[in-house]
Amino acid sequence: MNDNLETNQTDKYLVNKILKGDVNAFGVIIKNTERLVAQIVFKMVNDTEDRKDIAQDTYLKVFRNLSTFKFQSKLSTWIAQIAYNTCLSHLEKKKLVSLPLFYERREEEDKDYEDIINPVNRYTEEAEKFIFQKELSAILKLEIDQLPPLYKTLITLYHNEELNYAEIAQITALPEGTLKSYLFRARKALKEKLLLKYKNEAL
Amino acid sequence: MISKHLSDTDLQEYALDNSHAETHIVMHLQACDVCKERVQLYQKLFSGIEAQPTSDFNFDLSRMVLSKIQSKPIFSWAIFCVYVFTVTGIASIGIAFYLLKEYILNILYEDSSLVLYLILMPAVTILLFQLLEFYKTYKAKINALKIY
Repeated sequence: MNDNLETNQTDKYLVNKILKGDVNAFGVIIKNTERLVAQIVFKMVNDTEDRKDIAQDTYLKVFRNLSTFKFQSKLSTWIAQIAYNTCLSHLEKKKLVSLPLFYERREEEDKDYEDIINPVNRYTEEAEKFIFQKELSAILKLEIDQLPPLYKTLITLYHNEELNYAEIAQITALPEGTLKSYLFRARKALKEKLLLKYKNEAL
Repeated sequence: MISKHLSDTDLQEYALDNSHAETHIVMHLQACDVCKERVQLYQKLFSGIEAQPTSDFNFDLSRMVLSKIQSKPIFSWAIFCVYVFTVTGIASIGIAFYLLKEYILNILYEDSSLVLYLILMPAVTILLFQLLEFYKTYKAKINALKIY
């Protein structure tokens, strides 16, 4: 709580300096928030050049609208919201609207999944043990990268950036209930993909 | 044999934070090895996610943005022309009203329905435009959900 208060006061000080004309203070804000922005941009957009353009556009929008920011939330949350919306606009412009919301299971995968969750199926336990034994990190990176952009972003914001539901809800403009539901589905989808993929390797 | 296992939501919530877990969940996990393993799998999954390397831009974003901000603004003829035409237009309308004010006032006094029409039409037009904007915003939000 004290850290938040300190950060808030630092942000207020920096914002006031920028509004009085000290553009270099904006560089400090960029340094403080670019990691969070990078997490969002990398998860929402795949192309390297597009990421660069989006990152730049995000901060230019932040600079232009800084006078409208009234500290009703953390500055980093507000900037992340702008980054997220800029990514969405980019996806709309590129007409990348056909990405699936959920990991859409095909019928045969449903059957596979039923086999997996059947508690008497020894293959489930084998697959789980296999995942325990293997180094998860490399495997996970691959599987996370294949998730839909929203799922990747939510998982990153919650687990890596340790934002709470209220902050993520503000960034994504999703109601908290919906957001929690999506997060649960995203994690479940990740787990299912891992189990399905490594079921065969465990046999 | 336990026939009814915990839901996926319960498993995840327990794996995330078991300090406030409901009693029935704790009791079930004490008795059910299947669910216990599934919780452990989720815990390992979450640890794996948290151990993922963070993404970083491989360029100096701060310098790039500041150089854009500090570059001198380019004079835009288009914006200048828009300002000039707008001011000229408003001035012309104002001068016309001033010169024809007696004629206009006579018309308005003679025909009160015209006054009503002049007030109602802009109000209805503005309302229609507002409704159109609300609809566009709603459609944009619905379309945005499709992106996910």
